[in-house]
Amino acid sequence: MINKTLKHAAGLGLAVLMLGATAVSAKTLVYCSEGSPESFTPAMNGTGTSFDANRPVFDKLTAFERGGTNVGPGLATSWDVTDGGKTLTFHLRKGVKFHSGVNGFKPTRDFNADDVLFSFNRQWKDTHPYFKVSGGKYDYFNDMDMPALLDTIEKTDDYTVVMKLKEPNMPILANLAMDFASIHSAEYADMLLKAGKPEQFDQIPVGTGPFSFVAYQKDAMIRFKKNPDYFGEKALVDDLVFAITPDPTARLSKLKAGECHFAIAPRPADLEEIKKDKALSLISQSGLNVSYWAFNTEKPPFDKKEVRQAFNMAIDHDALIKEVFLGSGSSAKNLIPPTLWSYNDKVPAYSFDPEKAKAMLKAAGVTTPLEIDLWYLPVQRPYNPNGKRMAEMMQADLAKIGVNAKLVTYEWGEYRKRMQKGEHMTGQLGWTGDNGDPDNFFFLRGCAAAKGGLNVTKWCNKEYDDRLNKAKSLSDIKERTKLYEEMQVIEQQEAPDMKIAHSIVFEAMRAEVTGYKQSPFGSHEFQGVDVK
Amino acid sequence: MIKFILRRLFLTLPTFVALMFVTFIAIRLVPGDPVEVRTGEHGISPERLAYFRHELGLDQPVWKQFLDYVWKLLHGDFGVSLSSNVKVLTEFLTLFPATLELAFAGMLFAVVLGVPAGVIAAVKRGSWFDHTLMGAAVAGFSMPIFWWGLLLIMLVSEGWGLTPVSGRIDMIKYYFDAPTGFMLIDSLLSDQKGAFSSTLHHLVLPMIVLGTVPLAVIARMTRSSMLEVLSEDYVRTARAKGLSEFRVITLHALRNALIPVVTVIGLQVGGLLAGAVLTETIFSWPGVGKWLIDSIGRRDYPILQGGILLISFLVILINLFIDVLYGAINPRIRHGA
Amino acid sequence: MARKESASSPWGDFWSAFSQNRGAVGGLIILLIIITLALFAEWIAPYSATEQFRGMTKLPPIWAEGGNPHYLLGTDALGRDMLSRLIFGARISLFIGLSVMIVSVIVGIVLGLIAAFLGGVVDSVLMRIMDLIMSIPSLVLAILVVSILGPSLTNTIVAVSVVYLPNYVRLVRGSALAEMGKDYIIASKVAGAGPIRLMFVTILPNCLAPLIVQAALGVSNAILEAAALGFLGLGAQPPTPEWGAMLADAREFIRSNPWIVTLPGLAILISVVSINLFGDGLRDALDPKLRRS
Repeated sequence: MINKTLKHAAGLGLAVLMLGATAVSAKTLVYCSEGSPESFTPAMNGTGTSFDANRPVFDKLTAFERGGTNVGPGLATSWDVTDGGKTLTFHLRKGVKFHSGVNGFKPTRDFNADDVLFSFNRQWKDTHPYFKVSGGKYDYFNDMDMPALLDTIEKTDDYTVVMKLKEPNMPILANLAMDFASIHSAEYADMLLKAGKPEQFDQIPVGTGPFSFVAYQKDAMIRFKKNPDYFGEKALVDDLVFAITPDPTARLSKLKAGECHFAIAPRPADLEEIKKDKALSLISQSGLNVSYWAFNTEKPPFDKKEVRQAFNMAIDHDALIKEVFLGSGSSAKNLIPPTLWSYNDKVPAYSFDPEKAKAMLKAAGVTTPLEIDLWYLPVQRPYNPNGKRMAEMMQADLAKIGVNAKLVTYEWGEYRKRMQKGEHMTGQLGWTGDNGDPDNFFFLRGCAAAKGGLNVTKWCNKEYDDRLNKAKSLSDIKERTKLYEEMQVIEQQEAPDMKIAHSIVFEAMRAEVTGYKQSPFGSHEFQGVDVK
Repeated sequence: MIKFILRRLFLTLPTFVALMFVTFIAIRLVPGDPVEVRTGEHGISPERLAYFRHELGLDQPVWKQFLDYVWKLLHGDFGVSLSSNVKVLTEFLTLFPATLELAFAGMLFAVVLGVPAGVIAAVKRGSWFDHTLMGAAVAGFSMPIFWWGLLLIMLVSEGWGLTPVSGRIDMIKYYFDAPTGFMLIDSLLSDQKGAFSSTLHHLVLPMIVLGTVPLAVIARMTRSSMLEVLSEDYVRTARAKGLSEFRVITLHALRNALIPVVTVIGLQVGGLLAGAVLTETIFSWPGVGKWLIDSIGRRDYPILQGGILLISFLVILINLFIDVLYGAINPRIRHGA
Repeated sequence: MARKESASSPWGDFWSAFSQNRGAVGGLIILLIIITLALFAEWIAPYSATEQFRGMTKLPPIWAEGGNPHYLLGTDALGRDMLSRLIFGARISLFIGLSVMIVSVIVGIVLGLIAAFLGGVVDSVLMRIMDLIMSIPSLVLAILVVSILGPSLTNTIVAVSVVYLPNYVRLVRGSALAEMGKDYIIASKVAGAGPIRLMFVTILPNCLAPLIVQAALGVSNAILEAAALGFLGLGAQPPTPEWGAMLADAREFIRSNPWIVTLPGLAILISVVSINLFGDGLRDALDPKLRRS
């Protein structure tokens, strides 16, 4: 039976696969997720949905504490930093077992340095036998500048890996806790290579994580089972099922009906109902992101500071938060969210004052009616649930100060590209933080990013930019904080954009679910979670 | 008969080649790059973009890409999905049973209810049943099914708690091997008690939503075709011979009245697939309709190309099958075609 | 019965048959009301379709708890008056339906007659193209076309017209072919009528009846298809009060404020039903074979 199934799965690549009969009485946690993962190799993926689906299987060298941003030991129990921060020596955990029995793979050895080398070299060296398998897109490895940072990775013995960097860089320890740095089994990779089906490596994953992979059926479900030998915090349920349910209304209905225990991303419109339902519980946390309305400072009249300030006053900010975010966002006045260090709360927010905005426009020599374009997000983003609705409201507000805004949008890839080229007059965009460092936000208004880059305001201010570059080179957090606080003041006065909001991330689950911890990165983890 | 089928198949060949060519060009005209579309706020560096476009062969002239594609297709290779790196054919075969199961259920629902309803309405022409049915039928085929689906979920699943909201089976309770991909069959093959009935429960609402329009069309068609047949001479003769009304209707009238109905059923198949797109979207049903729509968003060229080809090929095959069936019911047609 | 004297003219024949069909008359009346609403929306609608009443968002209709007498059918997520949006939406939907019908009828007539007249290679090529269009599921094709052209009202019309074109081409070609074998055509040919004259003046009027029926039903199909595109976010762009787009925009409120979703759907249903009833009546009245039943 098992053999027959495996043959079938091998033939179909990702067909349903089952390892031993699952006892029906076992404790199952069903998570209503948003969509199918791109693959089961995190390094090749780019969406939170995919990472969530990969994470149960894998561990990394370092790990974010569950529900936090602090970095602690993972598959490496400790590390030494030498050579002025340019050499990192990782001491690996002993006695860690890879999942056995998945896709016919029976590990003959424990986890060791070869697996670490395999996992990084695959993404790094284009001569690696797995480099081109399954398309070879390693976006995060490149986005986090790993090729530029890494000099060498070598093993000195089976349980010691030495990583040499081209320049000192402490945030790399946090990067190594990110999903793209997940550690795979080199032995499993060899087995599949010998069998001539390396592509299965990215479809049927083997790792060391709290759950092992059981089956995946595209657009329907992913099934995991508990890894009883896990070295860290163990799974409390026997089976973990991802019920793929793209429609948020259906997710909530299933949650209410008890068909799933946990649902990702409830609709803001449904929050009230969830709060009222005693069978459900709702938790929230502010997201590591910002949404803004960028003015193209290279195009008149937005080259004038006064005009940009006037536009900041023309929009009914509170109404946007209320009607677009429906309670799932907090009004933003700075580029970084308040949870990030160096947030300057003394910066005043612009108040809604259409009369004054009108007067300022007049004083700046702008004749009304003024025709502008307003680009709105074609897709839902974590920082903006409904760009279209927001644009319609902004359009109505602008009409009141004599500005006719034409709503424009493009397909998402096109939208970003054109905005980076500066084709817009004004447009919505935003940012989601990667690693919890303020620079990861502030660079968005720097001069380097203004030339065809991510600074879609094209604003290049020397005062701001000097501080930005200086802060990056400093290691003292107090000094950096001071510079960042000043930068926020400059930016508020210069108003290259209008800050809109930081989102609030909600998670809905059934009341019987215990032990869940919300992650500031918006990821979902189910070890230590139980169903009462 | 075989000659007829082969001739028809041969006639579809140019359509098929043209279809291949048109979809190939069309999806490349959709703005947006398949590599760029998957990146987030970070975007992608021009060097890496160029590298991937090269790896995927997207930097080649379109005619060359097309010839490559046809060459591979002739070897049975539909290419690999750009977003999941899985073979297009593999993904299609994983998802298609779900669509087929849904479409089949929808059609069954429409035929099983539609034909008898149409017959009764015709026999009792002018009765309240006839009027009600025909009123309902107009509403049925005027139904915006995306709205109908939402409404039914709210009423039947949410309000009355009669059916599950979405999905194909209760995943908390049941899990079994799925050798066929047809959940109804797989749940029967599994020895888990209640799995089959859970699958049926999950199928009911999507089936009704998808079957509504064909049901209305079939009921109307059966009625009018039946009315026509009932006034024919041979039916009158049969009556005159003293056959019971039931036998007249079932044995003589219905058989002939069904000919146009079969055609209509065939015509509904294309519409059924289009309806499946919406139904699958509403019910989170893991089928090929949703898969195609999603791939347009992702600019997943190989999936769109392969998916449209495969589905169109099926539509053509089904139409051929209907023609053959038509010939079987009505031997006069065969020579004419 | 009272108007027996008019029964001799074709129009009178038609009307007396049509008016016997209660459903058709009902459909016509509703349709006329909808057309009136669409034509005079500016004067009938209590507000503009795009004016946002801040602080008045998501009000229920007047009969529901919490309804506000100023907004008969309540307001949408941006505080726009639902009734006004529905009335203006009638204009959009009818415009889409009629445009699609007109475009596909005209193109369909031309292509259908060309295919029937020229025959041979032209005919085969045209028919294979139509087969091709019909072999792609309609919605997938429409989405593909809209994706290429970009979402807008005009492109919706183009996409839906493309989808429905084959029906008209086949119909016109079929009836033209049927007519061409008849004596009167042969007679006019002998009398020296040119092919263009033959096509449009002699043959076309004789294929009109089925075409009119198809066209009437085509309007309702086009409205449905366009609404489905709007529902998938590919139709008319904001703030256009297109019914499908209104439904899609409000979809997230299906649980919290269900009537924002219910009303546009109902509007679509009512107008499509009325057009279909009217179309059925047309068919029965124009098709002498079915007239008796």
